[in-house]
Amino acid sequence: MSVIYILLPLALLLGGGAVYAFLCALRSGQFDDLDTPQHRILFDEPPSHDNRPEQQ
Amino acid sequence: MNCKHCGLPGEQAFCCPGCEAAWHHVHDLGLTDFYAIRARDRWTPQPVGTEIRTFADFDDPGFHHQHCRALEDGTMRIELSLDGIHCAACVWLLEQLPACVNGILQARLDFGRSRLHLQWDPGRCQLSQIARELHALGYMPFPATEEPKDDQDRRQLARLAVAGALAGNTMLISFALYAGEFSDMAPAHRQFFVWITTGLGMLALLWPGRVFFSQAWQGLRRGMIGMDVPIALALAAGGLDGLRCAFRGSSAVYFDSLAALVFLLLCGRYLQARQLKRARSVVSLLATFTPSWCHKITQEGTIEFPVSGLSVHDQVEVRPGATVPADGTILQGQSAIDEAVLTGESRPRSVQVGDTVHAGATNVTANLRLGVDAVGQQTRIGQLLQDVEAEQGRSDTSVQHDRLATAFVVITLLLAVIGGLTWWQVSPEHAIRVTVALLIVACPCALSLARPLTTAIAMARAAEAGILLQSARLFEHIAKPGTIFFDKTGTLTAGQPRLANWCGPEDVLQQAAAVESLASHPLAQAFSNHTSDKLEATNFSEHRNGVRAEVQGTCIAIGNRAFLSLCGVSVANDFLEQANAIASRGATAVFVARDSQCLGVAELSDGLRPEARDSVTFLQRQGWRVGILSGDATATVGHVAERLGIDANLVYAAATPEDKRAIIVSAAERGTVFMVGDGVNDAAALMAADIGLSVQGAEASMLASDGFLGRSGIAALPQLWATITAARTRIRQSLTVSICYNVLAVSLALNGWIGPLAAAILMPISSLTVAALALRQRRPSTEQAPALQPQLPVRA
Repeated sequence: MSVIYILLPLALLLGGGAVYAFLCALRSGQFDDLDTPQHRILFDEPPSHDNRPEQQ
Repeated sequence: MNCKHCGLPGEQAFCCPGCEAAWHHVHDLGLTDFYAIRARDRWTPQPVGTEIRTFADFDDPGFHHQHCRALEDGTMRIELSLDGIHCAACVWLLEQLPACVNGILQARLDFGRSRLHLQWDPGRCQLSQIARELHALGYMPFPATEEPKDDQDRRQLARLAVAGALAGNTMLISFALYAGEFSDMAPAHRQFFVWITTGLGMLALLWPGRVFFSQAWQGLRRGMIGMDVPIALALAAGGLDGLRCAFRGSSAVYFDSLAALVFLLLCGRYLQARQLKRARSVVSLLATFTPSWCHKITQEGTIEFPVSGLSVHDQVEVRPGATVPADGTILQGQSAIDEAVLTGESRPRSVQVGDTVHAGATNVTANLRLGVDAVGQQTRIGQLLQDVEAEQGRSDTSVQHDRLATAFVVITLLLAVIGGLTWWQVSPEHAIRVTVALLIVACPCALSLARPLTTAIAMARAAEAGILLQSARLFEHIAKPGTIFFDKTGTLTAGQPRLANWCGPEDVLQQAAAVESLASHPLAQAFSNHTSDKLEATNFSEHRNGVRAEVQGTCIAIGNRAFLSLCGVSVANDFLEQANAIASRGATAVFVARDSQCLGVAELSDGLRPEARDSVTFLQRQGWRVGILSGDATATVGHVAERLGIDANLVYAAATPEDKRAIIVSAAERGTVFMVGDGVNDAAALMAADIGLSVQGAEASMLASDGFLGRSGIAALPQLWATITAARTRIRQSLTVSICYNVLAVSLALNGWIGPLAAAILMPISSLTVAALALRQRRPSTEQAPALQPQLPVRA
């Protein structure tokens, strides 16, 4: 059971890695807007623009 | 049939030219999927405005300096606040912009706050071009102001995440320790686990939990024992005791409970903060009142110019219907100014060369040329709103804490110590088991969650019905009935004068209506029902107290007695008596004279809202003292008070914003004070009151208040009371259930009847019960709820 001395710190390190990843995501602004993505995922592919007149 | 673009019912294919233009533009861009996507969800019809703007001020370098951010690759970013966002399809439409407009690199819409994040290449297109594109699609862009609070939200979320990770891991390791109580665990292993949990637990206390200590300390420094003090004490005691035990080698450490407590308390705060953020749109108060752009008169002519760039001695042109951008003196022109936003007076004031006008007022009649005297924060409205904002900042730090939960923690710790010592005398090995079981099973988490969770859900339910609550303070203040003050115009009354009575010949009335159709102040609208197409007025002139024009060859003069004597008309005695009677009824008397002879008198009254009487009676029956605080004349206000059954001692008329605030402050000495109002002249009073509620009207009052009653106005008050009382009942139920459970569980643990493992299983039950009770709150009835988002007043 002395393997626990290695496993436990390893597990905690893994957990710490997950927290670090979360903090990175937080800092990049992914959690600032939690309301719009629920609408955004329902959108389909962008429309084709063949029928659009030329922009000047 | 409905308007093809915005869906409002009407007779033609489009309700207005703005909608028609937007519809064509959407088709030109090939984005017709917009209408299909919109049809998927619920959405509210909102017609496009018909204002024409070139947005040239968006290209001004000063504007760029203030609102845009330049990136290293040469592109620029800006955040624009958009009017007209009403459904998810708008998100889709706006995020297609990069594909449709050459030069826009990225467009992302924050739907909840109606903000568009744009990244564009200044070399390929100009910001004014983008703004015109947005306007053509039906959205009005404004530069968004900075939100300094974003950082605080992120930090809160970071704390929550770390606390959660620590709590979860500590609990898992503690399971091992508890299991080790039953079966033999090697001392070395046990010590290892103890040290790990101690380390994690101390980390939880010192990193995410630090906020409790710092807030408690700040409270103590100001001489207040806030709710954080017991929490901080409990955490500190638990932490220190745990450290001591760890050093001494015993395994009676309970850092998992402490870490879990930290996590759940932070959860409760985060939930509340999110709810508050949702209800409040953070825009600078001043920006909602004064326009962001104006017409500046320069050597080259009149240009569109950002208001933030104005300086003293500049000259601006204010067109009819536009809002005055800065305090100034009139250099040219004669007009009428509506200062209701500042004074609450519904009647416009006539102004001419040499008069001063204030920022925020609306120019009603004719073009004015102003010399700017004060800009931005130095204007009268800027000063007033600065006071409001300062007060708002001070009260932001008060968060709802649970006295009960912290007392509970202290009691639990005491019981643990007493129980442990008692059992120690009896049988030492049981003592440890008992103490551990007690500490696990006694869950303060439910108690600390009950109030924030229930209030958060109650506020969400109320928001769905159109009542936006910005603070949870309402929940505690509503219990102790005190004094509630109402503003008159717009809150108790409909804010629209109408012709209640006419004494005189019918043809004179029609001629008067023809004259008034050329006047553009609110009182003139009262005559609009009586206009006829055949009559036309010419030679129209508007003066301080009346109007005059020619109709059918005769000269019609309309106004008060002073104006008529200026025109050389004397008013007969019986008309004067009628005018007195009208004034005593709380209405305005207006004389109409034809060819120097007074022929009739009109009674113009501002109708009371039908629900006013019911709401007042409801409140009085609940035990509240109802009063009126108004800027309008004494006779009018007194009459309204009488009709609503309001005690004359609580009626204050002709009050300036400063007066209103003083009255609220003096009333606060006698108990809780509520204020219900709608104009910026109420903002200071709304802040000073214990609870301020705003109705449809000036946006600054919405931001200064604790709750917004939406379009239903004061009719929503009984509903609001019902929702909050129900929430309070629910909180009491949750707390009762929690306490009963805890008392039962603690006694079981103290008697040694449940072990640590059983305790660990029982603990989440109380939290789940509280959550279930909170979620079971019924939604308030929605028949009175028009829209989910407040209708913003039209910006100039």
